[in-house]
Amino acid sequence: MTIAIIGLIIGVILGLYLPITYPTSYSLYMSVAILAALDSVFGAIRSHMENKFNSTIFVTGFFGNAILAGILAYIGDRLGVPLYYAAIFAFGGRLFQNFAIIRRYSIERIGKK
Amino acid sequence: MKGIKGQVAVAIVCLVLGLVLSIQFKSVQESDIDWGGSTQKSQRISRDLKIEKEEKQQLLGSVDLLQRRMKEIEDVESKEDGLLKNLSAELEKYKMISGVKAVKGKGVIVVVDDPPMGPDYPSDLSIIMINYDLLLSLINKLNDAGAEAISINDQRIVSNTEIHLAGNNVNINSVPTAPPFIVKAIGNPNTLESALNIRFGIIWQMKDNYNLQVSIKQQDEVVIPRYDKITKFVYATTLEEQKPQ
Repeated sequence: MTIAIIGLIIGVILGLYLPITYPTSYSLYMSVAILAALDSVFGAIRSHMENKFNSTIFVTGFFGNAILAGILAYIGDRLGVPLYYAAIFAFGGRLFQNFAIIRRYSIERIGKK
Repeated sequence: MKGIKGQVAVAIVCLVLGLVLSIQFKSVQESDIDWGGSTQKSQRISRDLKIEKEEKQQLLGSVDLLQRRMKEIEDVESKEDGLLKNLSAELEKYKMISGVKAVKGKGVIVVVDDPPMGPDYPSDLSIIMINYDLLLSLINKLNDAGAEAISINDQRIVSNTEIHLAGNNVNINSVPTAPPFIVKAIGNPNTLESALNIRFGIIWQMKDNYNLQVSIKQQDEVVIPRYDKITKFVYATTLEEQKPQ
């Protein structure tokens, strides 16, 4: 858990200070990809709490979902169908679900102590 | 998290996540494209607009105050001096002509509105706003009938007043307005009314060709506000009287 938080903090600092930007028109695709990535991270925390964590599934899921969501949003834009809604609802819904399960486990764990 | 390999993988993934998150945060912060933080932005803009409007109201108040004071000073001065008295009377006349004074008097009030909603006239289409040149024509007729002062929706019509369609509004004196258009005119009420009501005249045209709702009413006291913009002459300069050729 700590190693994840340390990685996250380093990443945020790097991102804030590195002069990397992308065209604002890609902002939408990136945000959908970030949503997918966040969903993967919450899924990982949940599976860690269920002692089912598998780093290969996590890493592939993280990048795979993010790239797929970004590409889906892009294709949707080309086709004129707002496909990114699909990504937002799917990942957003699962994010909350995962969070609810994590909360339940945490409360149980605290209750046992 | 089993083994060192898994931990490294998690660390790298979290690093990437943090990196992308902060880059996205930065670019959304910098971008002017309205989505994402758009509600915040629009709230801020509307708050700014409100402040500006209040400021405008205050400034208009102070303009009124200063003008009143100027008038007082002029009055005092003109009492002492006959020449100045003439001059200030002249000034008053020109102010009335140019429209920077609010005026009142006998006249007519014409209300022009869209046809009642129905299958022939969908609500998202404003006939009078599309055919805004009817308003110009109406003003033209009123001036022809000897109107001394005209306003539409409390915008005084002066020599450089524009009436044109801009997006979802009709701009008059660069103030956005919308139907119903209330046209006030000061002049001989009978003359004005009959000039408008003449057969095949402007009102007939509005009612018959465009199905607009038009009502015209004579009134003993019509109040017409003053023109509250400042006319600046950037390109035009006065020319000395030319000799007749």
